[in-house]
Amino acid sequence: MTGGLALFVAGPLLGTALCFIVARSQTAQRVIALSVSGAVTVASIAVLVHVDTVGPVTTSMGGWPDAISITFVADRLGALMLVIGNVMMFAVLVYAIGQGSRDERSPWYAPAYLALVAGVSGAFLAGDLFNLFVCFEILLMASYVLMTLEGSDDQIRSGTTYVVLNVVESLVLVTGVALVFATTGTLSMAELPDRLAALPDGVALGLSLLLLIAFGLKAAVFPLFSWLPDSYPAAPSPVSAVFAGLLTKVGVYAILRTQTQWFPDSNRTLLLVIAAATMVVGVLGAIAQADIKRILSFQIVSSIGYMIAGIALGGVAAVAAVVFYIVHHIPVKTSLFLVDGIVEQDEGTSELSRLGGLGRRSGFLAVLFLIPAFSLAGIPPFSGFIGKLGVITVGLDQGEWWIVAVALVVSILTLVSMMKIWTGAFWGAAPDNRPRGVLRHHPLMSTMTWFVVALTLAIVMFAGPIYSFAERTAADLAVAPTATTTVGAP
Amino acid sequence: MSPRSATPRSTILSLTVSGLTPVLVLVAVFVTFRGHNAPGGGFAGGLIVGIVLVLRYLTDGTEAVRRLPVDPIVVIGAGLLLAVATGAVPLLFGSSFLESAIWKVNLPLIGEVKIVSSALFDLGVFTLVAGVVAAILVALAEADNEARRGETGDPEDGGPLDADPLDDDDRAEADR
Repeated sequence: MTGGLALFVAGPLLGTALCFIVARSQTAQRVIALSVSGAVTVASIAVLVHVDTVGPVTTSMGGWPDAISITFVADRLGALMLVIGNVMMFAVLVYAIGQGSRDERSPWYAPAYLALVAGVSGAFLAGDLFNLFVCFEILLMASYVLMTLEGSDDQIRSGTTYVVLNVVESLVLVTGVALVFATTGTLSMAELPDRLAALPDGVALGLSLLLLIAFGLKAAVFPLFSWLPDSYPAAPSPVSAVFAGLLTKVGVYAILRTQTQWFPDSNRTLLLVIAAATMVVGVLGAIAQADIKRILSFQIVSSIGYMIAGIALGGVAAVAAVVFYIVHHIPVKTSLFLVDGIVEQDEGTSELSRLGGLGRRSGFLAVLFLIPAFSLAGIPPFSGFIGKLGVITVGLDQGEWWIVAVALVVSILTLVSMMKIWTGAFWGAAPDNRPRGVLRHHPLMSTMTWFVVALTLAIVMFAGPIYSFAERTAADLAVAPTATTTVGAP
Repeated sequence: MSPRSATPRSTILSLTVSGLTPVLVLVAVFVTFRGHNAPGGGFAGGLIVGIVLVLRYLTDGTEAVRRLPVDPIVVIGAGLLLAVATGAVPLLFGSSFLESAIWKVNLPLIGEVKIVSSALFDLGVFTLVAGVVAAILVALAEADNEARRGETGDPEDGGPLDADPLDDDDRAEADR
């Protein structure tokens, strides 16, 4: 398996190249995109199984010694994110092909989508800070294209905000990378914890904050979140589904790795306050909106707060809860946006004032919405309950009563914002001028939405094994990660 | 640049660019191949070719990109394919991704020449970057054409660029 992990980036990029070459044939592009994305998904599952049973996998590129080569490492956390990310991207790709919206028919869509697959996969596998930055750039470049492909005025306006803020984020991140290298002499994720521990406290704090700002902007934490509810709703539904499910989580993943592995002793009060503010502002924003996509977008911010709270609480139990929460949140959020896509496909809008009575027209769609909606709000027995329970239990154990109180209140408010969508779009009577009957949409769209919703139910069914996997992941992160790379490549 | 400000185009600029084109392309190739151990490389080389295209666009207008023999999107794909394939081929020989093979060849008159497979990677980047610049120019040209159609005020009659008499004169001048 010498090439092993490199293929997760090289494969999709090869697919990107082929899609460009066959740009004239949309069918060929779709076939290439589906087969590459599918193959990468299957391979990622194989990696996850291997990592869990045998141990971490490392791939060094170019035949250079480890210290200077590009290194990809798959440990439990990376492999888990790789699997869930690729499964989502594959499902959304099938959905988008079914929908066949204007942007999906553009010759740039399939190549950009595969580049996104390459960037996301690479970010989860990057074995050093600089390559994390590079993979962030790949996925950002692809996301700029996907977000503005339709070229409507609205997309260009919010796309500009999105691009400018992410360029600023990249600038902060690359500054952080340079400073980390200047102070420690390495960028390897395996060596950094020891090197950073040897730094004076002030320097380490500065680096920690710099990286937190960079990744926090990507993850949309308070007060760096305002770009998200502005830009995501402008993108076409499948695109915002994959962005909502995955891209912020790449930021959370980076925060999780850096804060727990590199700065284990830092004071977490600040992070806890940020988490609480993120939860509250996100959910209040969601309640104030009157558009499905905008409500869902603000809820992302709120959910990120839960993950940050878990990271801030620290310790194996909290990190395990965060990992489980991330795993549950990705399909839940994706499926909500996919449901919105079906609504928009038929109704041409996601504004609540112009919707109504969808539940009567399509009971299936209503169920497809309700399951992830309850799950996000944390109603038992759905998956969100287990994740939130984990975070809250740790909060109680550590005596941080106030964050538990905030988390519980925010849960109820999340339910309120979901009820707003339910009453506005699914309940009641349809506006008079609407056609009756089942919502018109491509069968692939509902099939894939079902698939993702079923995935969230599967997370509940297999909550035990998944949670124990999350605990093993957290234990991996708690011990010095030097152990993860000395177990060499097979 | 608004379409009107580009006219009338300068014969001097046009002739200068025609003369510079082969020189710039040579410089681009030189920069690309010296990039192995010195400043330069495929990205810089590709950008220099991109500059040639931009200069052509300045002198000849949208006609410059209509003359392109291949669709830029295919050029981008070919460049990326070459780069990634160069990285992946070593895997077939049991080496690691992106590992470079090195051959030393003795050529008559020139002496010993070191050939590395990673030069192909640079060539891929070169092609890719040049293709991206061309794609940007095509997009600009399309926007330009649309703007002109808008200016004539009659979208049905405005039609393709050829319908604009001003532009025809310019092109005739540039051809001389």
